[in-house]
Amino acid sequence: MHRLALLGLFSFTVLGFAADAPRRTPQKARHGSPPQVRLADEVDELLRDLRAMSKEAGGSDRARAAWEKLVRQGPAVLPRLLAAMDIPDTVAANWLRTAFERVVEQARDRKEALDPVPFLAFAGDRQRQGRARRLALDLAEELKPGCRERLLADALEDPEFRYDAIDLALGHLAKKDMTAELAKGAYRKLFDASRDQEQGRRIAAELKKLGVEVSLAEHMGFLRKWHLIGPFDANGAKGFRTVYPPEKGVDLKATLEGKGGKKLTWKSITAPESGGGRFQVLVDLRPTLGESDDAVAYAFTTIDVRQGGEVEFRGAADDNFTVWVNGERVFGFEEYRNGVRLDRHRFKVRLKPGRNTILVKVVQGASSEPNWEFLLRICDATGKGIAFEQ
Amino acid sequence: MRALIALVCLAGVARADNWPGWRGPTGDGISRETNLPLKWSARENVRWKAPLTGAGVSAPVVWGQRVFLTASDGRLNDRVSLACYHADTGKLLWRSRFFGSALSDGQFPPGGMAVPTPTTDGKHVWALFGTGDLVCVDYDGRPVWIRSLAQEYGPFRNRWGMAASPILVGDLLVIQVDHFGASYLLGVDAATGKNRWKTDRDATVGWSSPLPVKVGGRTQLVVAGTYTLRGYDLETGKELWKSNGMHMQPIPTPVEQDGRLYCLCGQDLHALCFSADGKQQWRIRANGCYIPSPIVLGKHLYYAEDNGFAVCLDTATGKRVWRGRLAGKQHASPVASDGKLYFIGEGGVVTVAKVGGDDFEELARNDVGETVVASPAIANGRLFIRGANHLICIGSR
Repeated sequence: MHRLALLGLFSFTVLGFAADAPRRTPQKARHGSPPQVRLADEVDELLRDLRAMSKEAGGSDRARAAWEKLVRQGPAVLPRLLAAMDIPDTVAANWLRTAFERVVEQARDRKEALDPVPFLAFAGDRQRQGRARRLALDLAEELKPGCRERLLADALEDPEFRYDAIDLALGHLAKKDMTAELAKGAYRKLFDASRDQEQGRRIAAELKKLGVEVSLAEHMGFLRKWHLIGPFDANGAKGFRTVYPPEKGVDLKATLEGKGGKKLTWKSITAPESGGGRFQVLVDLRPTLGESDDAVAYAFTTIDVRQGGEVEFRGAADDNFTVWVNGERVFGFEEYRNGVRLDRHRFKVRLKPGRNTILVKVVQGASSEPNWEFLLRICDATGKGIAFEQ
Repeated sequence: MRALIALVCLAGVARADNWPGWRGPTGDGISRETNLPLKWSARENVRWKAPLTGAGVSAPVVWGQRVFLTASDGRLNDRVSLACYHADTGKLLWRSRFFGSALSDGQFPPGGMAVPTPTTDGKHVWALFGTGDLVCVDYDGRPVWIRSLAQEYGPFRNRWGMAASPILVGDLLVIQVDHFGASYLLGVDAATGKNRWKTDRDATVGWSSPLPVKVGGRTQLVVAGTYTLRGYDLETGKELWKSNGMHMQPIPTPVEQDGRLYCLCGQDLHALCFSADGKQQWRIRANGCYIPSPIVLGKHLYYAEDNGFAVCLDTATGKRVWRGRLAGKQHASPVASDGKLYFIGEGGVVTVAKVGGDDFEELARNDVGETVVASPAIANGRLFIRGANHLICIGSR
């Protein structure tokens, strides 16, 4: 039984992960024989049924029937289930995943040995969907302990396993006896690869012990220097929709009328880089503009970039958050009591070469929690801060 | 198949003893069980402890010899699962794992993407996750249908993650999605997963669950949301009435008794009483009634203040009867049975208080030895408590 299973597994391995293109003509296996080709056809049909889900659980009966048949195929079908899972549709991916795991469980119960090679190969393919790769790696590691670590050893730029690879490398570095110079180089490499705030902080702390100062705020692309003005009157929750003078044009020397007739002028601040707070940079409006309910504040800055092109803005505010770039409104979110979260809002922005202006509007609601703050960073699609001068 | 038949038979006889979903068999935190454990310790009355991994503060649900529990795992809590344990031994019988469709704007770290409590009818289990995934599996963990509400209607946009539990009313599964996106109430055919109706809601983020209430022979759904309490027709999803007075982002689930609705987390933290058609009967200041859902029994409304006090109000007037100190902060909703109220503190200490009486009467204090945020379940003479590290079964029966 065991040999048969392995043989079957081998035939599907050489067939490759054909199921991700279900409509193409079935390929002949290298050792192809008519029964194998027929089996491949049937599996293709069943996989198609599992992937042909529509909204409101449409197609579930057909999917369940296909699911049962696929599970009965046994371990030989696993690589093809995995390949079919390489799709953005989570519903179909979950039908496939549950079938995959049921087959693995049954093999486990029967103490049937599975070959880790196809799963490891799938996990190492960076063109595949991350979640399916992670599932494959979990199984490969179970079948062949240690293979996870070998894959992660070369995964610092892997879109799915970057965090894991850095985490593993940090563990190794902590135990390794090396010269300070080598350690600096090793930690610096990890810092450059890092995209996660907490992981970046951890590496920055290690570098600091070695006498190397790095700016995580810069690495993540946080905007720290701002001109602030406010509070403007937003009584009756009108702040988000009301156009106040800064939206018509920013004049940093202007004196504007604020809430209660107060004369407002722009004030310059540099938000501190915090190593221990929730966010590496958080622009707290209250120390500069005072406490205020039902109010609006604006923050303005300019950045110089060498090259133009599409970048990602990632930000959040408490409460409402609106952003203009070079006078064009690029984002707006109206909600109260919503809280700041790192990278909560992500939106693509096209910057022009040279100087770009950024205007942020933050509305504070009535009787809101005592927070009036925002954060904004500019990065590439992986989360690495872009180079700019502020 | 044999197992299925056995379970169907079991379902026929065991309903009253089960805890099939959020807030138990009658949706109000009350069980008809008797002879429940009063005292326990590490050595006494703890029947079993099953280790848990991952995050989750959904409550356990129990049917016969099966206990169901959801969880999420992964660095981002983007992988979700539904597990089944044997109620007598705590043995893990199966776990169905799913990819999460989309993460919420934020999450409550202990809960991850597994805050809504699943529900069961003795044959199937339905689970909703903060990732927007709604699944139905059979009692062997095999999928019956799978949906992604995140794919169909957009990700759940919630600053602490989705908490409203799916509520099973007959053959209809009711889902309340109040969030920063377009909010809605959904009536889903439990057998097929198809929508029977979908009603848009004028509401922002909330964490309360719908309450089915019978009024004049028809069932309506009572739903707490942004500034309002609303009634909906179960069959059509049509809004029947609405009444103001709720908090902007309410958390507790309302309760009902004798045609009167009781709500916590009213605007500026008030407790409120409405008639079943939404007419306000009384409103009383109730500091700290922010997270746990209440219990109504006889002439008393009981609730836990977040900061660690139990409060008893007179249901007729809202007037306070007593206020007693509990053990630590309260996240879990209290449960009641057999003349006892069980309040579980965040530190894992359970205060057992007497139902009724003009004064707070503490009957016992028991420590489960780990953090508890999830609400407990009562079934088959036992208490089932989800701790941070274990699913714990208490009771000698």
